[in-house]
Amino acid sequence: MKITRRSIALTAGFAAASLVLAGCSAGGTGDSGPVEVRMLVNITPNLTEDWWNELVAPFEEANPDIDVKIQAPVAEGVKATLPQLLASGDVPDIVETLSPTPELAPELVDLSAYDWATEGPLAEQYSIDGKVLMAGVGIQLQGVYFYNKQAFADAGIEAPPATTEEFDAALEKLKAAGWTPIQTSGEWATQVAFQYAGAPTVLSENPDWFAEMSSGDLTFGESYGDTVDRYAGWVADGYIPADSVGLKYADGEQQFLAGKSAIYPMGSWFAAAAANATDAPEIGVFPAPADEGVAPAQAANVANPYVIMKASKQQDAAAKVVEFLVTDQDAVTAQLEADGNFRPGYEYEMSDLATEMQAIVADTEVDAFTPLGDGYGDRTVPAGYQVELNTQVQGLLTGTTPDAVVKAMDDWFTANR
Amino acid sequence: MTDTSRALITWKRRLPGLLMTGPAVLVFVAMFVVPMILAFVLSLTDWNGYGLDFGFVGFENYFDAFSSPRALDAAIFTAVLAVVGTVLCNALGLGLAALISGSGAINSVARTVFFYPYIISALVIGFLWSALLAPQGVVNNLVAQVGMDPIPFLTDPTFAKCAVIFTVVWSHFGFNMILYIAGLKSVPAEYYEAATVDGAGRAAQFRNITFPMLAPVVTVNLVLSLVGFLKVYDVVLSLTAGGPAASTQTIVFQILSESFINGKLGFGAAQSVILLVVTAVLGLAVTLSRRGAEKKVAE
Repeated sequence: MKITRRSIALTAGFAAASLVLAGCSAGGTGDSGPVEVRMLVNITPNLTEDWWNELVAPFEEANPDIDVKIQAPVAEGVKATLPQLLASGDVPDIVETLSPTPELAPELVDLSAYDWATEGPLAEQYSIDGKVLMAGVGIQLQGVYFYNKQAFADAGIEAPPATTEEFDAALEKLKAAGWTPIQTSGEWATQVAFQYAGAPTVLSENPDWFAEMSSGDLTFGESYGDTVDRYAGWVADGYIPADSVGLKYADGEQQFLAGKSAIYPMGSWFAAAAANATDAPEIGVFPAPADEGVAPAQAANVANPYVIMKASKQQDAAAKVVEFLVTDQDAVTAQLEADGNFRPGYEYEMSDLATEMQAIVADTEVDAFTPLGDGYGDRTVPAGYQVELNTQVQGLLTGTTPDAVVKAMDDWFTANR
Repeated sequence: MTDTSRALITWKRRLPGLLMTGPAVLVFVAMFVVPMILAFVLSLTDWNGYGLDFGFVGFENYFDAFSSPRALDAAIFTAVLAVVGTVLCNALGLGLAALISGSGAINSVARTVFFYPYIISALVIGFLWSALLAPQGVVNNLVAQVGMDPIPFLTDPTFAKCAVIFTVVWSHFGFNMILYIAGLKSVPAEYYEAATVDGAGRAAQFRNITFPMLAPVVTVNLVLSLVGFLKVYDVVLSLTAGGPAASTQTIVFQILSESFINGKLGFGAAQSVILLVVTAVLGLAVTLSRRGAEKKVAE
């Protein structure tokens, strides 16, 4: 075939015209078609793109004028994807997974006018300056200890510890009975055992801990100094093997499921792993206790939080979608079941372990729920606290002294507040 | 001929070249120069990744990058990794190339075996070595079976640093080796024949012929290794996740952590700019310092 200048020019012209036409039509919904609402969601092995599409299908059926388009994040997840989309001006209408923070708040629609948002799980805890900026589906429980019932029986522990004093006594008994008392691991998970050890007391006695730490009215040493000493004592006594820091999170989980340790501090999502495990020991769960005489603060996150972006041109349609996702019985139940989360009044087929956690949620006063780590809503500390804490707790397992850890944490707050 | 027509002829001559290089230059500017300028601009702000609230902070992020203990530790470890990794990779690569550059089935198999780690995903390599070196990993299980205490490969900061360096070298030296083999193939056989006639042994031949003739390849290998190791991230992520106690965090690990986990994109951008400058300076320095050796080959 002979290629002439004319044919090249024609091809180029056609290509350019195609691009222009594609540009004109891309993303457009036209006046007559349904309104497109884009929802950036967390994609996991449980929550696949197909799963999300199935979740919103009944809504789309009931609202043919709204087309919900599921948008997957880049590899690093929703938190890394949203800034990229904001920077490019390609903002989704709804974002799932991200909790409101003071930094994100200016970009979010105030949902305070909607009952389905203000009456949702942990709405008050997540509010910022009195505004409800997210609507959640359920509660993800943190601050709980999973325990091997056989280990407790071997150690002669008849009931789960209800105070830190009882907890430490239980660790001693477990060690004496030949068990590894606490299972922890490396990566991000090392700080979990530390926070569960201290937060129920510290955050109960200092309800404004996040604000006071951020302002400098309170220091890490004053609030968590005793916890650092206590944790270092656990390491010294062999209650936490120092080489745990070399384990991957998944390996730590497997160690506990293989019956090699007695207590596993982890969030409620562990129940799913326990349910899927073969030959797992009999496992129970109890809330992380506080000191004698202190009503423990109960750490929890909201499950499946939804926020609507201010930059969205479809805010009303987006609000309709979110209302469906956080109130529709089937939609809520499906989301709770997928990740093993809880909400009073919404039942699904649960394992015994999950049922025990549902009871913990039901028994906890709403005001007792608290954030951990960097926090959320009005209760936040400078970003990066949990990462630094994790590093310092790992230091306790690799030979750093408690005093050095306290100093490092206080220095970090001084540098970052 | 007027100046105008002379200029026109000159332009006509240049036009095909401009048309051919133009798209590449445009892509380079769009994909490299513009993002670099934007990264520098971003590094002068306290942008958190949300909204358009770019607070100008001047060079504060740069001061923080040089004063933050965590950032300094990451910089020191990255420097050690880059220098030690470069030396080991090139020593191993050159040594093995000299041993297995010949023809024959054994050499071919050996080349494939040594090169293979380089083509595996770095993330997979990290997970693989983590399974081998973990407290309950394969190696420590073997160690336990002979009655020894476990070796804290991933639980002691010093051991963990060595483990990261070892893994990076293990996964990269095959690439250096292949380049050296290519370089060895280009050394004329007559040189060796003449040296043999003169009574030079293998060691003398290597010292006086092989190594000097490989000068350009050595330069390329040094620069590529150095630049590559300054950007190590994925092996660290999957092998140690930067631990224990942040001892194996590299600069790129820090940049991503600060940018996307802690929401300090301005600080992350400042670290990126510093890394870019350091990489460029080191790459240039190595290239310039190797000029003399390369000139000798040319002569």
